[in-house]
Amino acid sequence: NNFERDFEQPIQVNADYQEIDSRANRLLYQDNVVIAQGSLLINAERLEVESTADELGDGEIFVATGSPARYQQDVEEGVTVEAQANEIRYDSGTGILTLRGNAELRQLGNLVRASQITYYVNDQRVTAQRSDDGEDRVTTIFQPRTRNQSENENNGNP
Amino acid sequence: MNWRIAFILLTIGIALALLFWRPFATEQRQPPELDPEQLQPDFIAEGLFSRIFSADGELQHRIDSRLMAHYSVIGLTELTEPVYLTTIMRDNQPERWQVTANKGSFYDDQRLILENEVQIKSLSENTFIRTMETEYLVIDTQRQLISSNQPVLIIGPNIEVHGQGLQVDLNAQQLELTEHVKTIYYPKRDNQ
Repeated sequence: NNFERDFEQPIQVNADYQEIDSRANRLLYQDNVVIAQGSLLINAERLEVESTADELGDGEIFVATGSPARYQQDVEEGVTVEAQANEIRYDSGTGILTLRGNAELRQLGNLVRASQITYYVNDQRVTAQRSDDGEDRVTTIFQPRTRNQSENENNGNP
Repeated sequence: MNWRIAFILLTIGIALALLFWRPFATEQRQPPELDPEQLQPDFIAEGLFSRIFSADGELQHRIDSRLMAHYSVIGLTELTEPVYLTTIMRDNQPERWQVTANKGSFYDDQRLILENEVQIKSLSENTFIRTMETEYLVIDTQRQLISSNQPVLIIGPNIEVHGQGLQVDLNAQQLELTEHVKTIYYPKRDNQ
């Protein structure tokens, strides 16, 4: 699917400011941060990148924060997943996206809202947790597909 | 009668001439700009230029140069094809860095300014950054601080960084780009 193609692309990060702490193998980006990899796009105010391996490129953990930080990626042709949260954590090694703090995930009109959402991008699985203090619940809204909408989808246009 | 008039006219004429000629005027001559081009170097030499050892006897930095010309009047040594070698400790392992350029100027205050095809290279294995390239670099050899206001290209094993406003603290292993443009992470598989 589209994800494999995305994950083989280089990851480009644009931002106004960058700091490299090569002792801790950590990079910090600030102001107008945009992460792009194929169709994956994350917009944030701040981004920390930690390399898990000592060799860079083996797998980095991108922690983007913003008010909110936003994510979008094409699952397949014409089907885009959108999400937002205070913190979007993206592990490029495992392809797992973790949204923390007022997290929302939208796909084809379905909406999941929770304090934390974990999105296993490769196998398209979503799990949502509410916050420990149990105040806010997990809300999932499935948009009933109207008859013509699902027909449209079958022949390719949303 | 007319020789008297002639005499008067003549004196006035001479006075006027003197006025304009002013051979004796002393213009405020500017102190001559000390332009190295004009200055003669005290000496010209080749090879090793400076070696500094740290307190515990470790070679901290060394500057070589194919050719150098020293101007003691202005405390400047001009270097041709300088090579600056420095060692820093990372997790108490020595990590060696080499900086080369076409042209260098070393000042009494221990600042080394490198110009034109400046390349910073890590001589140690698996460092985060392999090379940095720019056209202008200032090295504070005493405090191991490096800066540049020119565009910089930083290349690591799988990373490429473009930006400007470089500030590097070698000892703290901190690098900053105040005008970062973009960074590209290449997946490992591509350049296996």
